Amino acid sequence: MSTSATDHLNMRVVREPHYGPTTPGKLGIWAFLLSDAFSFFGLLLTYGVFYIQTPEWIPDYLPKLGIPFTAVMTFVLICSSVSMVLAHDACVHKNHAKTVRWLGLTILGGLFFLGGQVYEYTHLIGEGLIFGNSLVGESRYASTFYLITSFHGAHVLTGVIYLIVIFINLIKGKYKDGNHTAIEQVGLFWHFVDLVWILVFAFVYLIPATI
Amino acid sequence: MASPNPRNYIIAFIWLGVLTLLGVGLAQFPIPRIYAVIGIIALAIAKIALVGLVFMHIRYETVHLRNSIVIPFLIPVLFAIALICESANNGAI
Repeated sequence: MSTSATDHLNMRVVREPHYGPTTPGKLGIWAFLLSDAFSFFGLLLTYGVFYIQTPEWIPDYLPKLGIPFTAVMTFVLICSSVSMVLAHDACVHKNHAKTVRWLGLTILGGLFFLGGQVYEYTHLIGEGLIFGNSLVGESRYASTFYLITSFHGAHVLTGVIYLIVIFINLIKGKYKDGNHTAIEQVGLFWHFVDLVWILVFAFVYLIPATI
Repeated sequence: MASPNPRNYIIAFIWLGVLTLLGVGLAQFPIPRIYAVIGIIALAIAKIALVGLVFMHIRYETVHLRNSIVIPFLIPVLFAIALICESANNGAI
């Protein structure tokens, strides 16, 4: 599809009375997010079933997850969600400089989170939290932890790449006229990544850490 | 229909920070485990609602679009409740 055709799809506003002034791109990203949410729910439900069935979730010989460090990562992701929504607001109000600044901060937040995840993995693998020899792994704790957090990490990486593409277009002046649909769509994806992390942090990190 | 306001974003951000701290606190303090787990899940739901309603602008959408987004999210929740009931019935909980 040519660029002009894509722009046409993004710019066209559906005047459907029940759905209000929304673009096909926005409806499309919502449909994608719903399907993606089901993938995450499937993983978290599997985690829940394993967690309930396993008498000793974290064996003594395996390291515990670092709650304070992950809480900081969670806070950074929340901050990046705020900067994302402020970037969208600035674009709606045709404030180019603010849009660039907030979107840049969002990208930095995403990169910080990814760096934190790499650091956490390196640290945990060094302490012996590994899959084991079988496909599912000897430890359900290790297997589900890596499966869920890496699936989320892949979403963060995708989000950062998506944000960088939009950022380059922004620098080129593509959204100066107040056409905020592309920024709104990447924003929806980024907030979804934040929303899912809230669940992952609660179920994978906080609940097993309860005394 | 209400329109987005940057002030609401900052208020939501402060609440998200506070709720995150409360969640971490619940996991660390020596209170009965069941209360801590229920509290952590309730705080997570509150945070999700804040992100969805304020940052993702669900509260500013039309009723039809809002329902199209929110109702499908309830399906896995019902499935989770069914699984918990089944586990309880089998004596796993």
